[in-house]
Formats: sequence, C-alpha cells, structure tokens
Amino acid sequence: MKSSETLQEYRQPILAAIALLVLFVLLGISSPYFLEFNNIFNIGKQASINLMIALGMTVVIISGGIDLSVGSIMALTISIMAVLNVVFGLNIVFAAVAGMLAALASGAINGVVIQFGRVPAFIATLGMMGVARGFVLLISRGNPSMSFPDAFLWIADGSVLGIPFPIFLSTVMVILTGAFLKYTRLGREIYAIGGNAEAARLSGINIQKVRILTYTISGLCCGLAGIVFAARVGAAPPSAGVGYELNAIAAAIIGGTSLSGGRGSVIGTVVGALLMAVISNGLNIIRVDPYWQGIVIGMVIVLAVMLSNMKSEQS
Amino acid sequence: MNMRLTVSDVSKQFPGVLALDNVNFDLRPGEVHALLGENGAGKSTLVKIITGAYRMDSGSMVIDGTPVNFSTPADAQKAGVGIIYQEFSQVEQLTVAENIYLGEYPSSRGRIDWKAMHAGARELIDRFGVNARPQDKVSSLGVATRQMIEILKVMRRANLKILLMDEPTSALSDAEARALFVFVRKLKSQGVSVIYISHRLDEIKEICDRVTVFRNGRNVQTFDADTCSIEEIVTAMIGSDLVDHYPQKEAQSGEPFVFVDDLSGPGFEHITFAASRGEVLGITGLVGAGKTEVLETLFGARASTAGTVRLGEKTLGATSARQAVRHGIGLLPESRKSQGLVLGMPCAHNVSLAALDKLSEPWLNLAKEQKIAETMFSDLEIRPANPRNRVLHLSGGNQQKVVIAKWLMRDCDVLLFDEPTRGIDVGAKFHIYSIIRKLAASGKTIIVASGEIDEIRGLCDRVLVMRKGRVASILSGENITRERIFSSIVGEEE
Repeated sequence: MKSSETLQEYRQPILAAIALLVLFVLLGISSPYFLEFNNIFNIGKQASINLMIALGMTVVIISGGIDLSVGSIMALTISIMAVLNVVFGLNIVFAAVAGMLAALASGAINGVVIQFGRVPAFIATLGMMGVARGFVLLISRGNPSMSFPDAFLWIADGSVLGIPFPIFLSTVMVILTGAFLKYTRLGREIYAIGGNAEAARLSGINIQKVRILTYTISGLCCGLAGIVFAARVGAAPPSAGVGYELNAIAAAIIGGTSLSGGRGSVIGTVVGALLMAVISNGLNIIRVDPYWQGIVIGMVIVLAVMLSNMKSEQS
Repeated sequence: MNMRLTVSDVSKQFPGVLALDNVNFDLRPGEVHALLGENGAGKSTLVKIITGAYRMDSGSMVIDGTPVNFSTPADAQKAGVGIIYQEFSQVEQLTVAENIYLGEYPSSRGRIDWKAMHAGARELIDRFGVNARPQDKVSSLGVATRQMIEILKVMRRANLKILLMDEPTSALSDAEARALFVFVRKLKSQGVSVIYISHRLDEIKEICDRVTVFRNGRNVQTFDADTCSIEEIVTAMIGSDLVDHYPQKEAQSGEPFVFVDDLSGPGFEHITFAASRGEVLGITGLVGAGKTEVLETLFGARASTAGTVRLGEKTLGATSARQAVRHGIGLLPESRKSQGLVLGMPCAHNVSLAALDKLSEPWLNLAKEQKIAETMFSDLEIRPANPRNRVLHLSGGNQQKVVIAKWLMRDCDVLLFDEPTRGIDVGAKFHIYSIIRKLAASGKTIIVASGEIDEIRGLCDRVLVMRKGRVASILSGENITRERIFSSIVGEEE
C-alpha cells in the first residue's frame, strides 16, 4: 500500500494521536506536575480499565455489533468475587475464576441470543445490561461493606518490571488483541462479517461461531477489567461500571473504528482511551470544574466522527 | 395525426459505450407501445431519458407539440410523464388513500382534510375500476392491486399523459396480469399513452398496439402488434450481423459429476439434469424463471423442498453454504458487491476469504497470502495488479475476477456463475468468458445462469432453458442457436 493510502486509512487514529500530543504539550506547559512520572502512571491507570473494556468493544464493533452490557458484566464479575470471597470465605483466586466464568458466560449468552434468537445486538445487550445489573444488586443485597483482602490489592498497586500492574496487564491485552485481529483466522473472519456478513456466509465462514466468540471475548475483557477495578476500589460497589459502555464505545469510535462494522484497529482504540484519560486528568490538574469533562469528551467524540465522515465523502 | 411523443435522432454516450445511436421513436395518444430488445440494447437508456433520469447528448424530444429536454425526473413528472417501477415506493402500513396522496395531503387550517382525501381517492379508484377501498391498508392488497394504486398515485400528481411500465407483470400471477390489462385498457380509453417494456411476447401481442425493437442502441424496426409474427420480432431482436467473439469451445467433456435429481424449492420444481467435468452448462430463462433460485439451492444458500444433489458418489445432505464450500462448490453471485465481496477489505483478503484454513498455521501466514494473491492477480490479469488495494476501487470486471480468484484458492471442483458479466463492460466480458472456458478445460464443472441469450449461446456446451420454474428444454451441439433458445424461453415450441 502506498504511504498516502496508509495515511488515508489511519487518518482518524492519526488525528487522535496528534490531538493527544498537542494536549500533552499544552498541559505540560500549563502545569509542571502534569508531566511527572507519577501523573503519567496515574493517567495510564485511569485509562487501563476503560481500555480493557474498549478492546472487547472494538472487536464487537468491527464484527458489526455493539455491546451495551459491558459495565454490568464487569460489575457482575466484581460482585460474584466479593460474595464468594467475603461472605463464603472462598479463596480469592477461585473467587476471581468464578467471576471470570460468569463474565464469559454472559458474553456467550449475548452472542447466542443475537445469533439464534435473531435479536438485534443493541437490544440483546441492552437486556443483558439490565439483567446483569439486577443480579449484582440481588447478590450484594445486605452485604454493603464487602472489602477484599489486602494481598489482592496488589493487582492495582503492585508493579511488574517497574510498570504498574494495571498498565502492564492492559498493554499485554492490547498486544494480544491486536495480534488476534491481524494474525488469526477468527480475527480475519470478524472483519469479514462486519464488512459484509452475506458475502462472508456465502464464502463458507461459520457466522454463528464467530459471532458468539466475538461477544464472549468482550465478556472476557469485562471480567479482567472487573478484577482490576475490584483491586483498585478494594470493595464491590453495586454501581460499579455504570456508564462504562459509553466510554468504551467512545474510545473505539475516537480511534477510528466504524460503527457500521468491518473497520477498526486496536491501536486506534488505545489512542482513543488515552485521549479520554488525558482530557479528564488534564482538566483536573488545571483545576477546571469537573463537570466540564463530560462536555469536552462529548464534543471530542462528535468531532472525531465528523472528521471521519468528511473523509468518506471525499473518497 | 398529432403524436403524443416524438423522439428524433437522440444519442447518448457513456464511457466506452454508445448507448443510444440516433434513435427515433414515436407514441400516439392512447396507444400502448412496446419496447423490446435484449439487455443492453438501449431500451432502458431511452426510458431514462424520457423520464428525466438521464439527459440526451443530442437529438430532440417533443411532447404534444412542445419541445422538451428534462433535466430532472421532477421536470418530467410536471410534463405528465410517469413511470412505474418493479419495486414499489409505497408505505405499506398506510392506507390506499394516504398512499395516493403521500406527501401532499389535502389540508385545511393546518389539519389533514380526511374527507377530501378519501373522496379524491374514491373518485380515482372508481374511475379506473380498481378493486380496493380508500381505507384499506396497502399491505393487505395483492401485488397487482398495489401496482394499480401506484399508478393512481402518479395519475393524481399530474395530468398523466405518458406512462412507462417496466416489466409490470414479472411478479404477477396470470389472473393478476389479466386484471392489470383491464386497467391498462381503461388508461388507454382515457387518452393516456403507455410505453410498455416486457420480454413476454405473448402478452405484448395481447395488450400492445405497436412494437419497436431495439438492438445495439438503435431502433431497428417498428411493427403493428396485430399483424406481425413472433418470428419477425425475434429476428429483428437478435439480428444476423453479430460477429462471434466467443472463445473456442472444447469438444469433449469428462464424465458426469454433478447430478441434480427432481430438485424442487421455492420458485422452481422438478429440476433434473447432470453436468460433467470440463463442461460449461448454461441455465437461461426470463426474469423470475428460477435460474438464480436453482443455483443458490445447489450451493445450499437456499433450502430445497424435495430432490437430491449429488457430486460424483457423494450426496449433499441438508446443506448450508458452508457445507457446499467444503464439498468444493463455489458460487459467484449475481450481485458481486453485496454477496460476493467484502468491499472494504483489501483484494488479497477477499481472495483468501473462503480458504483461511490454508493460511492458518495457526497464525495466519500473511506472506503466503500475499504471494498467492499476487499469483492469482497475474494469472487472471487483474488490474490494478496490487492485491493490497481495496476491492472497492476495482472495476466490475476486475471485481468479478477477484471472486473467481477466491474460489480458485479454495480449489473448487464446481463453479456456479450467476449472471457472470452483469454490469461488466464488453472488453472485460470476453476476458471473463475465456477464463470460464479455461477453468472448464482444467476439468472443473461450470454452471452459468444468465438471461443474456447471446452469452449463453456463445459460451456453453449445453443449455438448460427454464420457464416458470421448470425445465423447458435442454439444448446441445447444433441446437444451441439464438432462435431455438429464444423460442424455448418464451414458450414457442416448434
């Protein structure tokens, strides 16, 4: 591919990356604290949970779907861990495994309902969003102060090779997801289904399998994000993850993943998630009223899609 | 006599094709005038110029003594030209009256005047004897009645002078077609002129006053429908001056390989035939005769209701497209863009779409993929020759070659082509034909469904003609002539 085509192809993530750089410079100038190591790590930690969820969301959106249940599935993982560990005294590792299994199952159920129940993804996952959240409230009822053992909190505070663990984990997930999409058969089939499901079917691709696995991957990402979230907060608030689906969708969209399917990249989502984290962290540091964060991020999303649509009209 | 419409020396040039070459045509008041010709003969271009969808390059057009040159369909509508398409533009959930007045509801003081609307609709319905009530939901009506409602909608908008009907009976049963003809005669009696496009010669003789035949962008002859014979029309349509551009057919084919036995399904029944290795078998027939349905059923993309399909010794069970691919069958669908290709993906990824297992080691071997695609691109002469391009940017002919490459990489034994050259320009067409012949020569079984008689005649070793969902005849060798194919298609058995 010619370099001009590459530019065109990755125009939106590149624009987002430029915006990210400009923000870094501006914030670095206006506050000496912003560029400190500590703060950079802070941004990374803030971004990591959203990024993990957004990776699964990117996979789903590339396949032509959407997953609104991510925040609830994450909360479900956390609550199951907390109930098993705190109330029933189960070892935290087994509790975490159980939480992960619940997340995987919820994702798989999304896929099955969408594929075999012929329910649009938007509605099926909207339903799962309510159902999973309901389970969270049910099982954590009467246990308001479930807090995790101290050793578990290492996941949020510890570091590997000098890198905070949440950043390390999300980086590993980024690499794995990127490799998965580019270098595996399933990854390619996900792009094909999102680009043209009918052509994919008539080429002999097993749409059912691919679609169910896609939503299961999203569930997996939510589960992992849930573990990090639990360690970070140290407890299991029933409202964990409310609104996270919108952040994850925003990160993917800002990074150039197309809501109509077939197009998108992991690296774009990384840039999108970082941009969102930098905006909220930066606004905090320069002491802007926190209510502005929503306004700014909202405008960034719309702007990003506006730019990408201008591009497609030209071509 | 004053003509309703006179078209004089109209020409229209498209890139690479002279679609209309000094065409002359006239239409009397209250006349039903048929346009006939093979695909690409120029009928639809003329229709689009009359309805304002295209502008003519040269020539002139006069309606009731006034010269016109429409630049938009709205202009044509204002001048009293209406067209009924095969697909309806109706809102099914609304009533007949609401549809007739769609977008221009009569109102008084800001509210819809339902009384006036229903009265107006009732008046139109009665005037033309349509079997429907203003308050009926459109979704509850049959296809023919909906078509009439569509015409009433056009009639209400303007003082309709000229109505164009494009294959109006293709979706109708015989009884419904009768009802439509009664309606068309009513239109005639009220002075409306009708331009009628159809391939069905029997119905043209029944409803039309005159017939004008098009060939290669020219109007070759105009007949009186009462006195002319079907042979005369067919000869005019086919002509005898066409040069043969088709690749040499190989004389011998191998042993029979695909066995279709008494296959039935939605749109066709009792289809039985066999096709051999190395053979190109053509399936032809009118729109709606069941060609595409048979092909898609062979491929497992549609369910059959009875009958079997066998490949050599293997019987294909309850199939899906996935199983068909696994058995070595590939389908090149009629609509490449919506069914054959993932347009946003690079060509190389489309080529490997059906054969990803060959690259999965278990990580995809992208270098191998690129190499295979490059080989395919040079073998099939796909331009531009860079497989990294998105398919989107390729021409129709090259896109079709990418679909062929996809099935070659899968190593299919049987290739099903549905309208292989639709929307492909002439030069690329013949290249596709020679690729098809080469594939057959390499021992593959090829089945081509096409409505283009000339293509079927020039390309195929044997021809299966379908009529109304059944096998009308199977022609081979000397019997594959345009005349024989045509008369079998329209049902004129000799």
